[in-house]
Amino acid sequence: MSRKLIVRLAFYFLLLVVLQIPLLHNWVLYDVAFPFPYIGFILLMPHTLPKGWAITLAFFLGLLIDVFSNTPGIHASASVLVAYYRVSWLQVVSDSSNEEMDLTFLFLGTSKFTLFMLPLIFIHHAVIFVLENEGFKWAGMLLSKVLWSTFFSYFLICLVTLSVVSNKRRK
Amino acid sequence: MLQLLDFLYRQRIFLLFLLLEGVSFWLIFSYNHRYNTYFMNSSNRVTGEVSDAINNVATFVDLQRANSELAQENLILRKLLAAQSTKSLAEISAKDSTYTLALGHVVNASFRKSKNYLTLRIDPMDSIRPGMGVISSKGVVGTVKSVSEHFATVASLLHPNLLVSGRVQSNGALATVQWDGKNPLEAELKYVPRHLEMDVGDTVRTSGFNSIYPEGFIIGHVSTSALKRENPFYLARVRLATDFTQVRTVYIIKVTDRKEKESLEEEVQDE
Repeated sequence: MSRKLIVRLAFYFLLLVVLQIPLLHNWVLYDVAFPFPYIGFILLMPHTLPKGWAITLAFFLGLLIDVFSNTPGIHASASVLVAYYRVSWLQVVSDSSNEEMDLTFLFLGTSKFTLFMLPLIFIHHAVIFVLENEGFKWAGMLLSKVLWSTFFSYFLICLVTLSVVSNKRRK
Repeated sequence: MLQLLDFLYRQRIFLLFLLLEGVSFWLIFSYNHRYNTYFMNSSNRVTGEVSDAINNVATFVDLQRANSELAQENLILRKLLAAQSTKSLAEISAKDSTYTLALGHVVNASFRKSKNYLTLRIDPMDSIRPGMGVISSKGVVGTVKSVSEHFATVASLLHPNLLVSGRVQSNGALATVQWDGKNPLEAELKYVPRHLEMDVGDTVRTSGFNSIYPEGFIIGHVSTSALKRENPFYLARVRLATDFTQVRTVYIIKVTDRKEKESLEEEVQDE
């Protein structure tokens, strides 16, 4: 791992995970969009990181969020699921198993980045809301929550990744 | 045997995945059933302190509103006191002996999720226990779920598993108030029998039958009520008296004769 990468990951951690905790209950748009941007950190971890480590890290990260929101296990299970299938999905999307591949907006390009991120965020959010709801009752409300929250989280993650890119360009 | 070990070794990541998911689901399913699980939720020392620090910033902005609310409450209490002074001292103290109140500061609260909790900062000297009722100056808030030394997690009235026994003031009917997960301002009012009259705006108070809340605390006011031909009970909703988006200071009710009451009731049930 290069130093640049570590700095970038620390930056992601600060903006996506640490900021999530104080704002967890307050960032809600129109009662349907509940963003969980911390999932961005899990998705943007380097894809060369061994899978065993990735899912363990995702588990504890999810648990951290759980402890603060009184939902023990819910965020942890969703995060582990997404972390497990992340790399396989990346290979499907980008069809090149480049070791040097960089999980950023710039490297992957907008369409591939979106195709990589959106379905995984959707699955993560769907698992969380279904578990929290204990099933599929009020399916319409549930679906709108999942969809809007997915878009909101994706928007926040994009903002954070783009801010890192522009920092680099300035130098 | 060696092949089996080899297989397990090759599948180790998948097995780790299953293990982690298993632990997660065990946490999910056990959370609702265990009594005092404070290490895994917001009444834990570390999360409590962090929430408290965050809340300090938020309350500072909100001080003026909190102040005027407290002044209002003071006014009501003073009026009450003035009314009480006409009664004899024995009467007042007799009334007070059934419960005492302890103060709690809300450091974290949710109200938009399907199960909502509040985290309170409490005084360790108050010896607060899970199962105690929580009220605010406006009305019923919830029930203590778990307690650590300085913090308590409260399952709020906006938690579908919390049932509060209430009484409709106008007709004396016993009813159950339960949140249905839709609107953080309203809950369902169940089991009001159809032969009694009930109007929109009637006050619903705690009945005092479940020894968590003493009799007479406001739960809310009836906001809609309908009577369908096929139903034995009213289909009614109450507008909750407590505004869960604003609640800052709460009181924890310690019912002093609770043990006596419960043991007496158990005795009767055993027979």
